[in-house]
Amino acid sequence: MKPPKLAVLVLAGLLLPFLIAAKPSRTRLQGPITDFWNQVKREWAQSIPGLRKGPSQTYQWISLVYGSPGEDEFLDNLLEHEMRTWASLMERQWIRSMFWKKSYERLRRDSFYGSRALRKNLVVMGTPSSNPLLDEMTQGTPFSVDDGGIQIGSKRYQGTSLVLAFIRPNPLGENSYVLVLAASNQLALLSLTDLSLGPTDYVLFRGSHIVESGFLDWSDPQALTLAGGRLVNPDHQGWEELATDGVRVHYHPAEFSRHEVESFGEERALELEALQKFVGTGATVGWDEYLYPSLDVKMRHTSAPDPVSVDLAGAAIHRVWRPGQEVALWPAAMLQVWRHWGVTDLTGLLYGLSFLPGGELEGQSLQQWAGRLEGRRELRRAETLIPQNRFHGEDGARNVLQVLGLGAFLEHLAETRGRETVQAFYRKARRRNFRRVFRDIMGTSITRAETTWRRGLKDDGFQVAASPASSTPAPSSRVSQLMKRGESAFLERRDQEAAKLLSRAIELDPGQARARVLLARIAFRGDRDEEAILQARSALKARTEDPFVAAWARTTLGRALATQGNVNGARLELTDPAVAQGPDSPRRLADYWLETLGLSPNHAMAARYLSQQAELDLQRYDWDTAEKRVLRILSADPGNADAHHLLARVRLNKYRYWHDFAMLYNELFPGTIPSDPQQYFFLAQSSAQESRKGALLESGEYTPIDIDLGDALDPTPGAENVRGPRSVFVPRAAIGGDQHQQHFLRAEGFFLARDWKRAASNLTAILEIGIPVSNFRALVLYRLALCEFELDQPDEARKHLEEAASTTRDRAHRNEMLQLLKIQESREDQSLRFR
Amino acid sequence: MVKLQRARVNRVFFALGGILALAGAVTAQEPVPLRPEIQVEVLEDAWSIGDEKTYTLLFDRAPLGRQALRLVALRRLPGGAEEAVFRQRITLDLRALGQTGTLEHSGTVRYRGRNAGPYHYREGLLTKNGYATYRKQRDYENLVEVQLDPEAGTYRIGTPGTEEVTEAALPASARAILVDLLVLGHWERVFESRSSWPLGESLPQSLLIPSPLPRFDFHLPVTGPRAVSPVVAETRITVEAREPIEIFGAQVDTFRCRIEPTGLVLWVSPHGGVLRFDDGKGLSGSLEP
Repeated sequence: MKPPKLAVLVLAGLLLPFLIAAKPSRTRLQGPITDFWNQVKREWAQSIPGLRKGPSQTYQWISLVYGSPGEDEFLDNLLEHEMRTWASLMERQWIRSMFWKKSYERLRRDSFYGSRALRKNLVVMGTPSSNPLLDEMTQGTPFSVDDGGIQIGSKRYQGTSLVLAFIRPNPLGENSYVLVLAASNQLALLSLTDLSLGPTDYVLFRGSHIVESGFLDWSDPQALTLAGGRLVNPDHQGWEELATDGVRVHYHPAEFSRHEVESFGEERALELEALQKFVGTGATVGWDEYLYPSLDVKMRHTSAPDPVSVDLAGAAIHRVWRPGQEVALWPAAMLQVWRHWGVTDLTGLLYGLSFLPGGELEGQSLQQWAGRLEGRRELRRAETLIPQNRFHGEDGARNVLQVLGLGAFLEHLAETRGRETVQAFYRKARRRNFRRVFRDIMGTSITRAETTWRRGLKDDGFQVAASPASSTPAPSSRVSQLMKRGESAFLERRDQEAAKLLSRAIELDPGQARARVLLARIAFRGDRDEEAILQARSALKARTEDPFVAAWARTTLGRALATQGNVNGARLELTDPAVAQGPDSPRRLADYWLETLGLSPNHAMAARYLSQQAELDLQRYDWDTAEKRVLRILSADPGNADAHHLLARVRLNKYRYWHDFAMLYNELFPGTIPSDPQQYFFLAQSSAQESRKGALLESGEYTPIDIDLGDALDPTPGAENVRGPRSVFVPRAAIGGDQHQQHFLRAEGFFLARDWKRAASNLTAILEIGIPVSNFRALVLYRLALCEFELDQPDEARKHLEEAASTTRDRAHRNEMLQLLKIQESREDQSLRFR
Repeated sequence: MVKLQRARVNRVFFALGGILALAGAVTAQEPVPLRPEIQVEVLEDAWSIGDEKTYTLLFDRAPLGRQALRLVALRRLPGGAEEAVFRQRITLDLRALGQTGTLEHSGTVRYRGRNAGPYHYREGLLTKNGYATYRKQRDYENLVEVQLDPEAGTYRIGTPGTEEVTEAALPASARAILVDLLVLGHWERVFESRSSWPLGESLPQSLLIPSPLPRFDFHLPVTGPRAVSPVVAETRITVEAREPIEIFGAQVDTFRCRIEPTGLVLWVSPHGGVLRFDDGKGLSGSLEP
């Protein structure tokens, strides 16, 4: 090594303690949860400048301490997999981070590493029994967690599917955070990647539903208390419980009578018996049923958009149900199979098995489903035996469709080889390669068995036959006349008259498929779904060549099934080739229904759900899906300001990730072709554009058309408001992290809208958060000064401009600011505008 | 006799709804018990600046679109009069009609005392569905800008970016209340205009309607914004029955009112706000809880 370099190193070594001591003594920690990664970045930015770039740069360490393994090996494996998936998504928040993951037990054994790791920014997760560190982390907070539930302040929540996430200062280290994810039951942590941690200091989930969220009072970091503004979304308040033999039914007395609930419970008790036989394990444990009168009500309580959802951790089934309606058996079977045959990584197989006890889904047998799917050459996709990780959550319906074929195949195996053989296959497949186990037990390969079974399938799904046109007799003139008058009345929406005329036409000519399809449409628009389904199926059975009939019959059938909550059946009808090959109108309509399928027609509810899912996608770094969801919200309502801000965040996040990635790549591989960090700059631009739109819409001065045209339709003159200043609602800019950028983009939006006060407020918020990058801080101060000049606060403006000039490391920027200060000094007019 | 009657009107524009009470009624689990004497309780603070009331619009049970009405300003005019400024927007996704494109509407309505002031809106058909960040004006088909001034008795129709302007006089409308039939929030002014709405009786009401209620259907292509042809329509409003309805899972007690000859049926809350409407031709709308 050459002497000068050695000298530099020695000098650096001598200066190091001083440099460290010269660092700011304590960074202000104030939450929310999303500030965790900002703090990691701040710490990284405070490391020695020379170690912040290049191949030998210092990374920032974060430690994750999870619960020690228990006695159930399979559950532990599943939990560890979920935890590592979650952690791998989290660590993408900062590309220069190192995420160390150790169980509490392992950390305890490794005292050298443990003592250091615990002083860093920490993530602590688990249950009180699996991770004793949780006890320490909840001390000095208003939270407590035990096996039966979670307490927040004086309010206690009972349940086994509760997960509490909160942030607090690390009691074991200085200037660092602890992000705690505590559950009362280990099973609850299996849905870790479905939790959107959001913009608050703490959030309590039941399943993926946010039950309570809020902020903490950070004035005394050793004794945190609840701050005002707790947001409580109580689930099932005022509900009653009716216990029958093994099944506890929960309902609201205003929605269901006790008699209705009793008969529902009795039916489930019989179901329990059937399941007991199916599972064959003797005493079968019961479950909880929650009944909702509509999808909207269910979404309010569970945040799940499907008509039926299963909470495995809480052993509960949530259903939209109307008295007299048939109830699907597979959710209960899923719970039983899950409990009795244990947790497994062959989730797909488990779900496939859950179809066996009822042998049907949404009114069709599994073999019928398989026949329909095979007829459309979709069976191979649907019967995949490969285990899937995500069989629940927001895409539950689609995954149920995927395992439908598998369920049918298993049913076929159970019928031909006996149920015991299938059970034996499942048990052994958990531990070994399932294909090999299948061959050992069944004596043939899966592929061969599937091929044989597929050959025997028949599609009786009312396929439109390609019969020769000449075989259809021409309708009589009387029928033609009735049809003409009926169609005319139909188009005029004289539905009663149309129904009479069309029914008479059918009496005269029962093969009148066109009349049947019109009757189906009349029934559908009159809210008579059952009748619509019957008429549409009759129309399809008539086997006409008319593409109008086939397309409208499928579309009407799909729509009626969808409104009844049969999402899978609806999807199958709406994607039928007859619709795709038919006229434009039903095809477009079917596509539109497919897009909104499974969601409430209530736009506000749908937007809330999509927005929550987009947040989750963003957390999972699935930018494309997040963007699609937000675009759906904006397509229905381009005036939704929050959706504009969310879209801005999605694009900004994508831009920042790739920007950081390119920077790091260039540092690590300096000799290779450099990546341009700005190649995704268009994303940053569109992000800024969206954020501006959001701010303009929030201001109330602009509507979407105004923004498109670039001018306000009818700006409100600045006359004095009767009730003082405007109180237009502006949501928190800090939602979901990236707070600096969020505030900055908002400030730009308000700047553009000439709303100096709110622009200044957002810029001040950035300064309060604390910014490690001096150039950015200087830019914020500079913008703030401009706003303050506009607000006639010249002294403040001057102060901030001077601070900006002394902060920036950009010489040109500094000169520009000094120049502005000189100009300012030379003019007496204090209202000079620097733009 | 069961009457819908107004309790107190200090400022006319505060009487526009009772939206907060409505929203509370919709979200509550328990149905609001109706008193024998039904009163439209006009709350002084019913609308605060920034309050927004939104409706989901459905066509044949598919979500067709959304409309929103928002109070953006309460101002004192130079002469001392007070003015309430509402912004409104409507988005209709024509795929729900088996067509393509989106009909967009945004406008401003001002209420000065008891009377509607200038009504100004833009309406255009977007040829493509979906949302785009960088959307240009050329994407609009037949964008129109309409200005109605009931006080001056004139209206003008123009196309933004062009010189084409049509000006004409509004029909005589001394007692008429301005109601854009596609904007549900406007009806609140109508119900606020009388001290009582007897159940079972049919009362005349003169309305200034800027354009007729559009007829939507699968076989009727939407080719552009609504035709503008202001008329003063002599309508009859009948409070037909007291009827509980379900709005997105919530049970609410309402009054069913029929507007003839438009054929519209409105379900109105005891506080005078529209909770649901149905045009009898497939188009319906409900207040979002």
